[in-house]
Amino acid sequence: MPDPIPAEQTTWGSLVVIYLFIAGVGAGAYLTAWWAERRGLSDRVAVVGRRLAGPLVALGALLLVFDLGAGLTHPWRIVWLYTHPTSMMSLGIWILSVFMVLAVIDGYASLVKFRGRRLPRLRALGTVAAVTAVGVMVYTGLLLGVIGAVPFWNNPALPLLFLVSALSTGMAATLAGSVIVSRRADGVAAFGGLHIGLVGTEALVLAVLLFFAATSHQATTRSSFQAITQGGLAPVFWLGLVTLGLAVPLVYNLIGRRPAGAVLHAPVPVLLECAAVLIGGFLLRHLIVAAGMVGHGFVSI
Amino acid sequence: MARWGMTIDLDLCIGCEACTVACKANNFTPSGVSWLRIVKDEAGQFPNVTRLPFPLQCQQCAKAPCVDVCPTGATYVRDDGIVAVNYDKCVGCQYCVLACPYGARTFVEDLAPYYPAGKTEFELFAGLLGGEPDAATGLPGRHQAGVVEKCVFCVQKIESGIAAGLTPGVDADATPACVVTCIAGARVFGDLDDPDSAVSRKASSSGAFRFHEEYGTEPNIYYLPARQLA
Repeated sequence: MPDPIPAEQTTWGSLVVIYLFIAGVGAGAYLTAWWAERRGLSDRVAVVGRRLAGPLVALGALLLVFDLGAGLTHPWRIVWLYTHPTSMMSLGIWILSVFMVLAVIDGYASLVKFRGRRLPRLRALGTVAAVTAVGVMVYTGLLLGVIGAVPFWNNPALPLLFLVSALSTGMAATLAGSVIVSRRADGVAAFGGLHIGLVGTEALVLAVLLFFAATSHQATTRSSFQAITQGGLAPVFWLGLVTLGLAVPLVYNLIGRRPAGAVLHAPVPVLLECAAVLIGGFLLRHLIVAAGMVGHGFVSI
Repeated sequence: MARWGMTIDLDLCIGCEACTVACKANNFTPSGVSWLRIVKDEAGQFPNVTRLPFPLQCQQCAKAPCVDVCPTGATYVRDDGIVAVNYDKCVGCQYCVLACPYGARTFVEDLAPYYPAGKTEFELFAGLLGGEPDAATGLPGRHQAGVVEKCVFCVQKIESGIAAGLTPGVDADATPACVVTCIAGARVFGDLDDPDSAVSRKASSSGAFRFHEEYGTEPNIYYLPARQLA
């Protein structure tokens, strides 16, 4: 068979990567807060996570509008995005919108005073918001995962990978926010074990996804794998994602759990570790989107 | 209701691109946009090699992945089998561009002139014709920046032809431009639901195949294979 033929398509670019990343961080921040509150881990972390979630997801949605070809010239067409929930994009925008509203209410309603009293927070609302937060995280993976024409994305490991990544980056953003607001890092250590589990799971799922790609019968999928591990994306993958985004947080948290690792729980090391997780999470989305584009629009005859 | 379909005989196609030009001339596609193209394939081992032209455009799938993913319903399958785009509902998310396994969709980034010096006579003429939307279809004759376009089987010719009492696939004025112009007669158009139509007979002849049948998209374009080289 001859080489694939280029079709010169415009494809999804960096705004989509940022949008998927921010939506994931926002939903992950909310779940971190939800967990922290339910488990009584840290009130400060819970407040910061709730406050972060709504604005982050709103920012992501705004980026999506900017990325639409007709989003700025014909903004009223955005209404149509709510009319076809059989499309993963339409369904996702529904979930995202519901979550955004709930997260803003849960994060900020208590600041509003009504007849001299602060508005109460509703436990049921928090539960629904937490469920939709999981929906948002899975959606960012399924958006890509349902595209049969990009077999590199088209497997069940991808939504799981983005779910785990959203949880770990959301937690990192929340912990970092908490440290920045309070200039103290106490309470962060309580999340160390959870963090090890998340980063470990992320590495494992990523390995599974890459194994699928490496052994795929589709040439384009194998070239996606090649691009990530050996080609143009390899430096970002090995240095940015594997080393900075996965190995550093894993080692940090493993050492941090030992008595001698207490020094790591000072504000600056915590912030550096959170930054590593966030950078790694962003690069993960970038690599997955970019690698899926390798060979896309090429039609093999 | 008819189900419009096409056959493309790869044994007759000489890759002259007359269809590519006829498509542009009839649909006034913007600069950088072509609804059909001829993929120049190769076959054989040196020194016995040959080039195989493979005309490629929207396959008008009955189970179109682009329709499944469209979040606004801008892309839809018409009752006559044509996959159409309502530009006024398209938000330009390009999800369909990703989903189409045939690379048949193009995002129109802008409506820049063909050449930097300004619009050519062709573009001025196209602009005159394309000023008002086609009320019935919302389709060709006009273009928008920021939306996704594709081949629609020259639906405006089919509809105006039928209204004038003509038969698509038989009368040139009711038949897609690429079919009318093909100098080799490689393209046949007509109603696939009519077993006696020329297109039905060709589509059911031996060796006829649909492009990447394994995708399960059920295209309404059938190809006939090129003869193997000795």
